[in-house]
Amino acid sequence: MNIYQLIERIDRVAGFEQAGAHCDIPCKIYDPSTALIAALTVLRMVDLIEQTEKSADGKHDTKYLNSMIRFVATKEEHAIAVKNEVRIIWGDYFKSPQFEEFPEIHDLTHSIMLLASATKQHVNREKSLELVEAVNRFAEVFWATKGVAVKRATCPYPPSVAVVYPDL
Amino acid sequence: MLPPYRNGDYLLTRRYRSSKPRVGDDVVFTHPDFGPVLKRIARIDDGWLTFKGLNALSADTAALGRVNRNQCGNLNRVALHLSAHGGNRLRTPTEA
Repeated sequence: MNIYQLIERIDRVAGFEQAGAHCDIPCKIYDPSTALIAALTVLRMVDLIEQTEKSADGKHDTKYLNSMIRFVATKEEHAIAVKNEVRIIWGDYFKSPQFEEFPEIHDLTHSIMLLASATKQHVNREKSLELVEAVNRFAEVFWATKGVAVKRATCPYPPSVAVVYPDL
Repeated sequence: MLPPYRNGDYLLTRRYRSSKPRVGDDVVFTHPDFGPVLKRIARIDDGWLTFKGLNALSADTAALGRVNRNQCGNLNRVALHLSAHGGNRLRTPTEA
């Protein structure tokens, strides 16, 4: 055990005072709900892309193209939002005590990065569902670190899939 | 304040008694708006302190504002810095 680990153990018992430094507006507002909504949006865009049909003649189909470009752009934007929101919670909120309690968080965060990229590269409902599920797990771990119970419920809007909510 | 400070680092701080705050000191204090923060003193004039962070993401000097010395609760100078990274290392702020 090195000095850092020794002091860390004492800290766990004594509870040293903490000072904010890097973010510097210690707002303490962290919530995975924004990441979840972004992941649901990715899934919803995949559904809309797959459901939208070309006009019968298929010529000069500006309406179809317009819709498709908007869906893809929104999918991109929200997949990036998932990555940003998850990275902020992982990088700013999680610290040594949470890492020790939930060592899976590093692999989980990395898998969310990869899945979000996959949803950008493809139009793949399965990958999008995997992304929602990975962010659900991220939310479960996050709320567990705060001692907040969670529940799974089907979101009351499309794409109507199971989402982790804090049970307050 | 990255670098030289990182999340999870431990700091041993000393109260200013015989010595006075100086420009360049890294200090921990209770900011009237932001609560307990770690900052570097950028300027001192007539009992008013101006601070800066050492990281691009820091709240800027303007946001932190000039703070009257009397409003800086528990102004303590960083005496020792124990980093979680780079192994088992004690260093003073000037070495950081």
